[in-house]
Amino acid sequence: MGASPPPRHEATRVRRLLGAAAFPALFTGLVLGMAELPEFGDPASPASTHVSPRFIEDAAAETGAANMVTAVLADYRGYDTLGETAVIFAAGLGCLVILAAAGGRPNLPAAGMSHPFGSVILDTATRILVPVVLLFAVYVLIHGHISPGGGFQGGVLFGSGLIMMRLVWGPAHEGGARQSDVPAFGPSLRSSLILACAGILGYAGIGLAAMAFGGEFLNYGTLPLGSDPAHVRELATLGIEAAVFLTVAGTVGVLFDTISIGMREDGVPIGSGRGPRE
Amino acid sequence: MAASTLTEGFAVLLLAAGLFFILAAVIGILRLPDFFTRLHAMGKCDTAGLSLSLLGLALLAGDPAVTVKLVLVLLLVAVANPTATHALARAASRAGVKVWRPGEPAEPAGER
Repeated sequence: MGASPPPRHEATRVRRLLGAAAFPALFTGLVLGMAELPEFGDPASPASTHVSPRFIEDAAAETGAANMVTAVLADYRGYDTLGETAVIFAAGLGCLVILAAAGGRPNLPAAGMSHPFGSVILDTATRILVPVVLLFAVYVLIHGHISPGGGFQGGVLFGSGLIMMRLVWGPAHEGGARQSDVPAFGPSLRSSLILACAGILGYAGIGLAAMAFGGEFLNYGTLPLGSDPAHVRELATLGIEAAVFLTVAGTVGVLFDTISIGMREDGVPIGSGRGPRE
Repeated sequence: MAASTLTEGFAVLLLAAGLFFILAAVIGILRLPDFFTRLHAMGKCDTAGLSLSLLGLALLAGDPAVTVKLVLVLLLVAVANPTATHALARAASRAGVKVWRPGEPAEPAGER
């Protein structure tokens, strides 16, 4: 549709040819690589003969976590989980940068749904449900050691409780008139961002503290938290999970607030110059 | 023995009643003419069907811990399900979803 379609056409065709050539090459390589992998579920594979037995036999004694998934996630492979947490944080930041710029209202504290969706029924149900949801989120976080759960799951639960409050009661700090008589509660976009930052900093901080006391990065055994090494690791793992919890909960808050940034009920972004009430 | 048979019979009755309401909800979603009437069928019958089924299962559970958990789920459903229905209806009403009037052609399920 532009002024010079031929070069664009040419580029598209070259890209398609490259793609058509790359696909079979990549596919063949992957299939050949797959043939070299150990049989799926093979008991003689290195993962089954060395890694899994070690985790199964020693995880509870070494890390103090009865839930082996938590032991692997937050202790043996803590470095990996730090990366995952950073990816979640980066996703929240990316959303903030792109959507806040597109919405044309980058001022942090005023962001959020400008008109709460609340009604008497929703207000009442939210008052009953949100405390239970938030409490259950903390339960899932703390119980990650002995049952399925942990920072990621608890953080998402906590974040969904925050979203529920936001949907029904509107933003935490809003200059305009409120439709609901309930004082809005919950962290502002700025506070959510601070929570997320605190989480990722806390995670890295625990890792660095382990270094400061003479261990490797994220090797918690050296932290001066007691004499029983398994108990020390357990406490440090709980700290890691709490950090993940903060990052995930904060990021969920950031995502919701940036996605709903300055949207009125009719879906027109505030400050876009469209719509009747500017 | 007699008491447990009585409990089981009562539980089966509750489960059957629950299934009846869920079936009614399914038929309602398929047959009713527009969003609001379908929501009406689903909201009420789903809540009743789930609550009755959960009550029946709570009677059958045996382990008191499981019974308590099922009752907690029942409470959650009793609060959350009607509220979600209300929120959907409110959103649809605000978004200007058309209300069906007798005589108009029904809006096919799955469209809009």
